[in-house]
Amino acid sequence: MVIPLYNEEDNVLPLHEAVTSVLHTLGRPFEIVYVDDGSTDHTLARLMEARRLEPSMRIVKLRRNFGQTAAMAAGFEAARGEVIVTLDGDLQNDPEDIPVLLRKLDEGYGLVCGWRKDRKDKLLSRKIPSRIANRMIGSITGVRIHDYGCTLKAMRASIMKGMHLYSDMHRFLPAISRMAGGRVAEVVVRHHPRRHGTSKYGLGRTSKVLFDLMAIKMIVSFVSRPSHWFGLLSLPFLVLSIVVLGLGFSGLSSGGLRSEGVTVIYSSISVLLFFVFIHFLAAGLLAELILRTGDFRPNELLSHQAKERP
Amino acid sequence: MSESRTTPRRAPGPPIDISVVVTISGTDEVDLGGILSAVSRELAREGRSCEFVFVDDGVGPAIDAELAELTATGARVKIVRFHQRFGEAVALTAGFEQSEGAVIVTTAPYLQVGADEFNKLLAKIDEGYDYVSGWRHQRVDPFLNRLQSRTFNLLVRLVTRVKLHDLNCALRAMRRQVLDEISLYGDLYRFLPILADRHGFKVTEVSVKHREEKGKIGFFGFGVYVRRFLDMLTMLFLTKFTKRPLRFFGLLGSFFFVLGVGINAYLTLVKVIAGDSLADRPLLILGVLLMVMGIQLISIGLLGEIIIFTHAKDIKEHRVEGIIEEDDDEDGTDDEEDREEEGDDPPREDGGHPEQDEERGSEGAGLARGRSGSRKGTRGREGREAGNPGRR
Repeated sequence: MVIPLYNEEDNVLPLHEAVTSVLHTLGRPFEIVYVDDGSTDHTLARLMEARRLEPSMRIVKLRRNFGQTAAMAAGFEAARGEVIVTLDGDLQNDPEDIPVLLRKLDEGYGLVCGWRKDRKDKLLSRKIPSRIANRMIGSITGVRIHDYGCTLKAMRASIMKGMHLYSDMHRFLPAISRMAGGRVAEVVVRHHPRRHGTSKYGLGRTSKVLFDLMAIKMIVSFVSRPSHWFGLLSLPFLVLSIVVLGLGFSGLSSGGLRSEGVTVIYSSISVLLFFVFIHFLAAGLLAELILRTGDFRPNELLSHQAKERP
Repeated sequence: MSESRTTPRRAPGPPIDISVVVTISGTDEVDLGGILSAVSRELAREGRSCEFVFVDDGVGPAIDAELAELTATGARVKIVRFHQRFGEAVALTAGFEQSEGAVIVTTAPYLQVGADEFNKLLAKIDEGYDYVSGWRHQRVDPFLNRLQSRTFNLLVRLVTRVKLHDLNCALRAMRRQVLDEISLYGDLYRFLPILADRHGFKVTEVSVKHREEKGKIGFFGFGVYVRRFLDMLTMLFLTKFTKRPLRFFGLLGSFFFVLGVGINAYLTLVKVIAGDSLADRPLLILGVLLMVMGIQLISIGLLGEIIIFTHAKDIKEHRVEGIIEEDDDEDGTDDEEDREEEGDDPPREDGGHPEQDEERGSEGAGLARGRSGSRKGTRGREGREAGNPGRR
């Protein structure tokens, strides 16, 4: 169980009670890792209070507020279970749904997401943008689930340990997990309106999400052979360059003084497009180089999992 | 390698609270004996033990006599000497490596500020800050220098939004773990407080009274300004977009791309409606060039994303202050536990443990004091850390 918290002092104790009671009914050994993401209120004090009753609980305290993804990554690092369940600290998800997720996970999935089918949030500022974003992320990354934003997720630790989350990557967890070889499923979960505290999300992340999406698309689809990806990207420019050059020459052959200008401009544009083509090819080669020297090995990750799951 | 001679480590004496690191890069401006006596007197007044590390950054025989004098005083002095000039960052790093204190203070090789100011900085460290920067008040250097320095600091403040007023002040105090985490290179030592802030350390500044300023007066070379500017650009990038290069390059690239598309769309419109020939419109080339530039910037961003993605393990974003867990009654056991937890970089996270101890302490004493309690007991922390310097 990994629960990131940021300034949720009123929610800590009810949350903790709900979570422990659910986990106890499961009859499996468990641990709870709370991540205090540099809270400025009494979140930590409340956690310490809860800890007196539940000594198996662990608290990871971050030096300052680093954001949800970082908090989760810290939680993943600290977690020792085979299955990791993440849950938001705001009580909007119901811990009662955890067993449902776990059952689904046991069917052989690598990651099970919650789907807040009946969301209790403001329509205009939260639900609609989120729906659009989900559609987009779904169609671009190819993992079609309905609710990317839901924090209630259950996943196999073996998948997450090989990945290193950073900067808002939690949104793309399903896509990443599929890249790492885990099948993704979703389960409808309940959703409650916020009772305490304030939401830490808002609009104004659109451009960021767009660029992140572009990056994740590239990473997910062609991470093993980036030169292919860049190569594909470069081809249209080569074609365009040849076409423009042809246009220029055809202008020249039709004769006339004015067409000399045509030739100059067309051929320079053609050369420019050719530059783009070369640039992409070079970028692809560079990317290959980077990938070879980096420590991300998708193949190793897969074989590692294959060993684990006979 | 670069160090020609290092004074041998002394036999373990009493633990050291403070290491004063002094880098020397020129002959005309040194007053090492003055620093040694004044600072050690001031620190001793507050009951702090200290050592001095002098780094000779390629000055050579000119200061032989002075250094020999220092070792003769009997104070705890270490000397690092370079064959040639390697620059401030390398010199400081070498000094840090030789130092043993839990808190490290750097200073100019002469009494730039009164020696009593050292205690002011250290008091802030005791309050719980991790990095304290000096802020020279009532500066005595010429107007031109002040103006340049002020402009520089203002720009850095605007760019990084870290509220510090005197980055160029040589007087700074920091906890050892700040330097364990942040590696210095090039000119980045200047921005150490900003990097520290990004790593989640508590950074503050203290105004100190400026005594004298030796060193260059007037305009620096053109290259210096260019380098400062590039440094600032680096800082902007490092503080804002390290983890997401595509957000930076993508935004910039799409701006150019959209501009180029706009120009070309306009030209197409003109051609379709007015029937003008595109051939005598050099604007067409500008439009295409802008689009090309946009595409290139975006693809650089994509390359950056690949770099980050493949190296995400090394550039961990979050900094764990401590992990509080079950069997943590004895120090020994939980040190092991934490090692296991953050196996990928054990020395870095060392700083977490003392804080953790405090939390535990306050927890035992009563929960309401959980937050306020985390400030006190820093002296104890220093003592503890200095007690086993071998742990690095």
